[in-house]
Amino acid sequence: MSTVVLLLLTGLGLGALYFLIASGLSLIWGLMRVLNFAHGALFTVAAYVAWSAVQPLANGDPLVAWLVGLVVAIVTGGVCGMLLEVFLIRPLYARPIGQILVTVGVALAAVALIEGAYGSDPKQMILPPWMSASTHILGADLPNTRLLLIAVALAVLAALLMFLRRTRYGLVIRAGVENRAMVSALGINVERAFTVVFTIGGIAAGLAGYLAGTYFGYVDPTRGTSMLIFAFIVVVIGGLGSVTGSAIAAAVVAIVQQFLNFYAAPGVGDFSVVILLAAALLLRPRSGESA
Amino acid sequence: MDRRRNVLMILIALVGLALPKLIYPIVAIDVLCFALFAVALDLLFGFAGLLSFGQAMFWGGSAYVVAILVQTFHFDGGLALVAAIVYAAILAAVVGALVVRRSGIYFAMITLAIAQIEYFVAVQLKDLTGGENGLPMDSRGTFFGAHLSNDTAFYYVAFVIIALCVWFVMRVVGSPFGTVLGAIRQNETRTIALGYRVNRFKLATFILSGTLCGLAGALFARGNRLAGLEMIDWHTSGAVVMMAILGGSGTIAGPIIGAGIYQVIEYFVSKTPIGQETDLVMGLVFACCILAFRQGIVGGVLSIPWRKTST
Repeated sequence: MSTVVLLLLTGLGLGALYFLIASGLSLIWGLMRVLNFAHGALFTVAAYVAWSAVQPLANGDPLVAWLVGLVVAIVTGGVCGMLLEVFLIRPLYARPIGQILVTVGVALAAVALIEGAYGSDPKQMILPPWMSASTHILGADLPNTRLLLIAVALAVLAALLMFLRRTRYGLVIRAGVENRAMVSALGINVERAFTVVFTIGGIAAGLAGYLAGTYFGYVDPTRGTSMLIFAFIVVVIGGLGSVTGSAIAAAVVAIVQQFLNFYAAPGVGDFSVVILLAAALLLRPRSGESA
Repeated sequence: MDRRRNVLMILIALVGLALPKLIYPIVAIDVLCFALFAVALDLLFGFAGLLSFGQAMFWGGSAYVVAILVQTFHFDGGLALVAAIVYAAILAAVVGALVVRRSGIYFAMITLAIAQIEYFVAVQLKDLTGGENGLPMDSRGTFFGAHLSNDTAFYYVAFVIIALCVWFVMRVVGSPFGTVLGAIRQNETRTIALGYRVNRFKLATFILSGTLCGLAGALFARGNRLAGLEMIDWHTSGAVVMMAILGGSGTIAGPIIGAGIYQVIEYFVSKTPIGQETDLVMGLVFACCILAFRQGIVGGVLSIPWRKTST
């Protein structure tokens, strides 16, 4: 029983990270039809910038340092996402394949830059003591970071849904996902919504990068890319453009992965997730494939 | 236009023949193998309009087949090469049957995901593949009895094989089959309406592309005496897409030139202080190239008006 609870919550913790990356990817895809390969790079860059920013605070209160890092990661992610859209995606609006390819170039360059600047060895995060501790729930010792991640992911999900359903920009984005041409025809500046969506995606990716550092205890240059592959899978299974779909798919994918890696054999979980993707792609009705 | 293309191909062939004298033979072998890899990818992307982010599964998979057969089972290198080609063809047939039902970005994502499965399998089968360390080969193995330890000799054997493959691809894209591929790229629905079984054409192209990628990867593994996990990684799939687009997608000469430029820049960058991080330079070069040149280097050159066509 305790193993099941542990695996379930570890899965949900991992799923929270997947969701944070996937929600941004999904919105970007849904609205702009851009598959953002640089999303993993946003994750990595934000985590490293935040890591650097908190180093001078290493002797102070670790909670303050952690919170400063969190804010830095969110701001970095958002700013990088916005810059990416304005300078690289915007000139290529007429060329969908070009947009994807340019993000591939950025992804490779950014990860190499981080690796060059910081080396490929993992960097230890500064964590408040209670994050390294664990809580006793239903007979299982659960590391607190898992609970933190799940709570943050739920908060982000709620905030995103509020933003999409209650604000004017949210309305424009939802309408744009539905029918972009129609929204432009109504005289609404959809291109500004593109920048907003990229910024939100960047914020979520930055948050994911920093929380992944918290979850694993360190930041390293390749984590973002390997997470990105799973985030792609989550986005496809959850339905491109759907935030709620991403949340459900992230939980399912991560839990399946955890359980099979534990009960079958290490690696089987990763493998089965890809099979899940293939099944989803081949069996789903051909929705949203017009682009 | 056609004449200019032919002149370009002859120039490329001449540079190819002289290459081991111009740069280190071992780098020349890399250029050669990546050239075929990029041409094979572009057969799919530039001619049939299918962007694959998983061609590394054939390149890397065949590399492992060769390395395992030569190193672990002491096969003749030539036979191992044939086995690697067969492996790539069968894999391409199975994967192709699944993926040709989808197009556009779904095609890119599903090929990426399937290549990732092969990667996970290669990581798990440590005893066979050497896991993280890759599988080094003590020698290149013989080629139907002939020894190829000399880099220049190996280069010219590979050159003949690869030149034949490139010539074959040129014949394919110039054939009625190639014309149908162009039609599928431009307007798939209309091609179906004209009565072509589009998926069969796509599948055949996928198998051909995958087989050639496998052959290129197998030669690369023998040239470098190593099959490694990074050969299956999505970085490799991304790099080959970069090469094809850098040079000029949809032309045969473009991917070859793109692969050459990519390998040579990578080689020189690796000699500088930031040598470990060649991706930094390549990523930026690629991003700039996408923003600045629509058709890549060869596409750009070919579209310059040469002289007035007098009749």
